[in-house]
Amino acid sequence: MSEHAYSIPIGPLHPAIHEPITLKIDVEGEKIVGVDVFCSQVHRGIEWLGMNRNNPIQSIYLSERVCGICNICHPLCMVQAVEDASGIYPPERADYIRTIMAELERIHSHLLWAGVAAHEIGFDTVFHYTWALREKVMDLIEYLTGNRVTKAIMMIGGVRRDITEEGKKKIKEGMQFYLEKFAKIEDIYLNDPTIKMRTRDVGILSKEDALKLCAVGPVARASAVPKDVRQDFPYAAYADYGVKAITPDMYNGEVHGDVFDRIIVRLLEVKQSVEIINWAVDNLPKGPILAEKNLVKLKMLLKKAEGEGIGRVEAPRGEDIHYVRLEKGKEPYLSWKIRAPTYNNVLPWIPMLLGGQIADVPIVAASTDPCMSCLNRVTVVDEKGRKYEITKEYMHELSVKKTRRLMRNAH
Amino acid sequence: MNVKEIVEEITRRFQADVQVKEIPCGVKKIKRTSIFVAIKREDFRKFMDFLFQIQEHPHFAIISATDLGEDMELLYHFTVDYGKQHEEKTLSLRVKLSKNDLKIESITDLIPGALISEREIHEMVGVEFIGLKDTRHFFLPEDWPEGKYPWRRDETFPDDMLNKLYETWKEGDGNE
Repeated sequence: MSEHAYSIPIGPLHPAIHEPITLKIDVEGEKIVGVDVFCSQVHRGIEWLGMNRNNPIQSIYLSERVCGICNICHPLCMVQAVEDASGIYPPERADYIRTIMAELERIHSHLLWAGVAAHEIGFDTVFHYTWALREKVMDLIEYLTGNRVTKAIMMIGGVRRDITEEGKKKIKEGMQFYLEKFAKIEDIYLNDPTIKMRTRDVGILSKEDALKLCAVGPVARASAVPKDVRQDFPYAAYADYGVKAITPDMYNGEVHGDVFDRIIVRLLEVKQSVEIINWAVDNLPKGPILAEKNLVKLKMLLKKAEGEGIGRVEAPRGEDIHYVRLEKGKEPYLSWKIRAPTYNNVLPWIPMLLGGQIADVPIVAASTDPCMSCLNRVTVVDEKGRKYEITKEYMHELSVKKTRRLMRNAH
Repeated sequence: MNVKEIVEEITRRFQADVQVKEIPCGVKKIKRTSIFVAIKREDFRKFMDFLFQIQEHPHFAIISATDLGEDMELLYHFTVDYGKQHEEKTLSLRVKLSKNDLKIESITDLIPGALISEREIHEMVGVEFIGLKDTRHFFLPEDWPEGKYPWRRDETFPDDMLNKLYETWKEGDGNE
C-alpha cells in the first residue's frame, strides 16, 4: 500500500449488499488498489443446532431459514443429502414438483436481483417495474405452497403438497405472463445505453480467476465457465429435461466476464426457468408424492439409519452443497455442513474490485448477488487518523451521480 | 476419466478405501455419482496431484469436519468433470487426523479458492493447515477466546458461552 492510499472499511453492515459483511478497501484517489473481506457478523450456528438439538425433520425447517430467498434450495439440498445417507428416495412425481418449485424460486430470485441492480445504479423506475413483475411469481408460490417466503414444501423422501389440475393451469398462466413480458425486460436491461455504460467492462472476473477461486453459479457462467449443477449432476427432474448451462456468448457471441454479462446470464436463465417449468408441468408423472407418509415412522427410520450423503442443488446464486452424516441411535446429525454459493463467490470480489472505483463497489458487489444482509455505515480513516463516516445513502448517491454523469457525457 | 477408470487409478496408486454411490433420479433414472475416498495423511498432497490430472481445475466445494472422539475427520469435497452433461462426479477425500496432531498441508497454493474453508476449519475445529498464510478469524469474532472450538464434541467446546444470548442483551443497560 503506497503512502497515498486510504483504507476504507465498508461494513460490517452493507455497501449495497443488503447483508452484513466487511470489506476493507484501499483506495488511491478513486482507484481501488487493495481489497480484503471479512464475514463473522451473523454466524448463527445453524449447523451446530442440526448437530446437537434438532431431529432431521426439524432441521428441514431450520435449513429453510438459512436464507430468506433460497428457501427451496437449502432444504432441497439437505433432504437430498439425508435421502442419500438413509436410502429413502423420493417418488418420481416428487422429483418433478421439486423441480417446479426450485425454478419458480429462480425466477423470483433473479427478478429480485435485477431490481436491486437497477436500484444500485439509480434506475428506481426499473427497480419498481421489475419487482412489480415479480409479484406474479410470488402469488403463484403462495398459491402452491401456502406461503410466500418459507415454503415448507420439502420432506425427506418427497414433498408435502401436491400440484392439482387447477394448480397446473395457474402455473401455465403465470408462465405465459412471463413469456409475454420477457421481451420488455430484455429490452430494458440489455439495450439501454446507460445500463451498458455502468456495467460493461466493470467488475471483470477472468475465466482463469473464476476457475482458481472456485466461483459458482451465474458469476462463473458469466466468465465462460459452463458450470451448472442442473446440467452436470443429475438430481430431481433436471436430468430428464437436459439443462444447458447458459454463458453470455449464447446471447451475443462474446464473453467479457463483467457485470453486464452477469445480467445477460441471469435474464436468459429466467427464460430457461419458464421453459423448464412448462415442460415439467406437461410431463408431471402420476403417483405418490412421499416415500413414507407416516412422519413418526419416518423419524424412526432416520434414527436407525447410518451413513453419509451429499446433496447438491443449483441455487439461483450457484452451487449449493450440503453434507450430512447420520449416526445410528441418535436423532441429531453426527455432522452437517452447509456450503451456500456466496461462500465461494466472496473471494472473486477481490479481482473484480481491484482497479475499479468506489462508486462501482455497490453494483460490483451486487452483481454477484451476495446472500448475507445490511451496511448502513462506512468509516473512512485517513492516514492522520482522522475519521469520518460514509453512510450507505451517501455511497448510493455516489453511484447514482456516476450514472447521471455518464448519461450527460454521452449526449 | 469415467468412474471405473478413476476408481482403478486410485486403488492402483494409493492405499485407499474407495466407495462409490450411484443414485438414480427422475423418470429416466439417470444416475448421479458420488465417490468417497479415504486416504492416509501422508498421501494427501500426492492425491491432490492426481486430482489435477483428472481435470485441469478440479472444483473445490468445501471441507467438512466430523468429531469422532479420538480423531477428527476432514472430508474435502471436490467435483470433477463439470461442464459436461450428466458427467460430473463429486469426489470426497477423507483424511483422519489424531486430535494430538491436528495438522495437514494447506491446499491454498494449488486452489486459492480453498482459503475461506481452511480458515473456517482452523477456527471452528482447531486444525492447523501447514502453509496457510492467513489464519485470521473469518466467521468468529476477532476477540474469540483461544483454544475454544465450537464444532468439537469434547472439552474444548465453549460450554460456558452456550445460551448466553439473554445476558449479552442485558449487558450495559444498567439493569443487571
